[in-house]
Amino acid sequence: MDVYYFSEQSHHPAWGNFDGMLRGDIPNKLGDPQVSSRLLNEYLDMYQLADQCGMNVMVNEHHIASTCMNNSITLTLAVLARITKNARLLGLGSIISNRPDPIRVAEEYSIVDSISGGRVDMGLVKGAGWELYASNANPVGGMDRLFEAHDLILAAMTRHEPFSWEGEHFQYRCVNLWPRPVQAPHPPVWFTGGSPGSARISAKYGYVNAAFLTGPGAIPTFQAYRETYKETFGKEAAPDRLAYLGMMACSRDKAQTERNVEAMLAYLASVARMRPAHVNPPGYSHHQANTEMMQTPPSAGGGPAGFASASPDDLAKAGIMFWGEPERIYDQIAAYNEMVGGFGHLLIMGQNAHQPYEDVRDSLEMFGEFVLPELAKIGTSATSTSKESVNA
Amino acid sequence: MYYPAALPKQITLSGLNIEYFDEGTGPVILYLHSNEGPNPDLALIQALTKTNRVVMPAMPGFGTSETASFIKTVDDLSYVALDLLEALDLNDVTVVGSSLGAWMAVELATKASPRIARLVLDNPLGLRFKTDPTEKQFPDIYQDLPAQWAGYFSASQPMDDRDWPSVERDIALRAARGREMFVKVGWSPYLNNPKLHGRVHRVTVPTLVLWGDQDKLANREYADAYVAALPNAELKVIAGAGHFAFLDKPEAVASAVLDFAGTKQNA
Repeated sequence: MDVYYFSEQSHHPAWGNFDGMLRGDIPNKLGDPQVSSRLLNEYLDMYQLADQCGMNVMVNEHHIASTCMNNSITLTLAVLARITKNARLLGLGSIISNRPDPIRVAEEYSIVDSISGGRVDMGLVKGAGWELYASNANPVGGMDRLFEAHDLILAAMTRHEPFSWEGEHFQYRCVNLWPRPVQAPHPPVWFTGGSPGSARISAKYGYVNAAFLTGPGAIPTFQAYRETYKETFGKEAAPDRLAYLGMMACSRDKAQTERNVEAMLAYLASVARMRPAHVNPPGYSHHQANTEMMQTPPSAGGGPAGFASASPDDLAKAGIMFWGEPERIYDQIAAYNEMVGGFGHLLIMGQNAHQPYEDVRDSLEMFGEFVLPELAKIGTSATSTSKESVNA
Repeated sequence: MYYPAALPKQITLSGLNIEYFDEGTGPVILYLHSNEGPNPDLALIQALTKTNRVVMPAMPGFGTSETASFIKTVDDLSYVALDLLEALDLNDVTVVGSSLGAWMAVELATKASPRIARLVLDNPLGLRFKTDPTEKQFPDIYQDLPAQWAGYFSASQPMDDRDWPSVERDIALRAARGREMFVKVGWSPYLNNPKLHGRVHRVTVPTLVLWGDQDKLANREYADAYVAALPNAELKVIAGAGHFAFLDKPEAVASAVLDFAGTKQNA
């Protein structure tokens, strides 16, 4: 198992002055540009530190949000391409169903792959429902746009003579990508898939499928991936086809653990702070799926918001947040890995909003020294995910 | 108010299987439904079929009518209505539309079919008159859950309190399809077609614009501007009605339609 460090790059100092929705509604007058500047530079420092500690890095992208200031994956990856040495650079993901210009996405990933010497992992996603309010892309037909943009981006990276594209959603007279990406035929593609249905789509392409904060929901999701992968390719899916994102904060003592857990819980509580209508505007999900949802009586739980009232121990067991001293963290991750049947990439949300710089630095250094080498052994020998002691 | 079943008749228009309702005898009314889809049980439809032949298609994407990737706008939908006029050989038609359907009726009338005698636009959408791009013409209902939309539409039914888990699956499916299509054609530009300003001069048939004085989506200023934009239109205010005047005050709307069409009312 390898590990990608990730931060949402929030502007959390603004949250204390606002009771409403942290995405869409929160006015940017509550964000201090000097604070943004300091935080964004700290976030880059943390990415650099993660690289130095032996981890890969992951960057995401949102808009109209105080929970994620990063509004361009490739812009930040371009910086990271220069200030990191060894890390894989995962963008997860570029919201290509909402972008009017997929070739621009191909160009930007290509230049990052070029500058980094071939370290890019290219996450191509549909994006959350509320992103439609930022991009104004039509909620209906997002999957069609995603797949045409995907086809076009890969064509741009793999065809080496100028060509034209006259698709349903995108038209270009001359596609001719300069520079070509370093990785051939193209950087690895990742999809997000938090449900069995979406995991099956990833599996048909053979792409890495990443589930975010789905907890035990990853069990059927990963199983669906493995089944479809085997049906499609006639062999078992290797662990590196599956990725899982959970929160992580490693600490040296009880006091630091308490601070970290508090910061993680505060982050978790912020997840639900969006307009209910923004989760699934009509057409974002297909009408058949929406019919199912309308006719399913509401139930408790489901998704990270459903975990808001759970205890830190329950959240560790569920794979939502891994916390504590290094040995405990290893045990939690290994147990979760075993519960969901094994995955090859752990994506750690390693900086959780209010968590201060010093605690993140300690967390990454301890995680890199004590946990990472043990996690590297998982999945390398047959199906071994047995717990091993960690010398912390 | 979503209808529980497919409309009784089927026809192929623009290569799509379209369900429709066609009942009553007398002068022809083509009724173009709102974003909640066609419903023969509506009091307005019941009233109009007493004296008229009422033809009411489920437009593509609504009810169980098929849709296709070439249907992206209300303008696109209006070509299917034009096909219907021709396929059924309807003449001297009074086209009545409600809300989204009224917008569709204007789009249809810009195609200047000689089959259309007059229009009744029940709280139309489709034109934007604001010139400041930061000023909203309509409140953005897509910022709210569909269950809350009824609060904008109806003065008599302010919230959609249907218990969806307990309704028949076909009703839920018709609702989900209709909501999807309403977002597809209404999302952007928001509930209007900028090109329509350059085409409305072609709507030369006599036009009656109805406006519910409790409309929370479009105000009186909007209704007046709409009337002024059309070459041959007049306004009638429906007291006590919201944006869905056909739902809130069906008798008043029916009476306005029949008066305007010169149909004798015996009831």
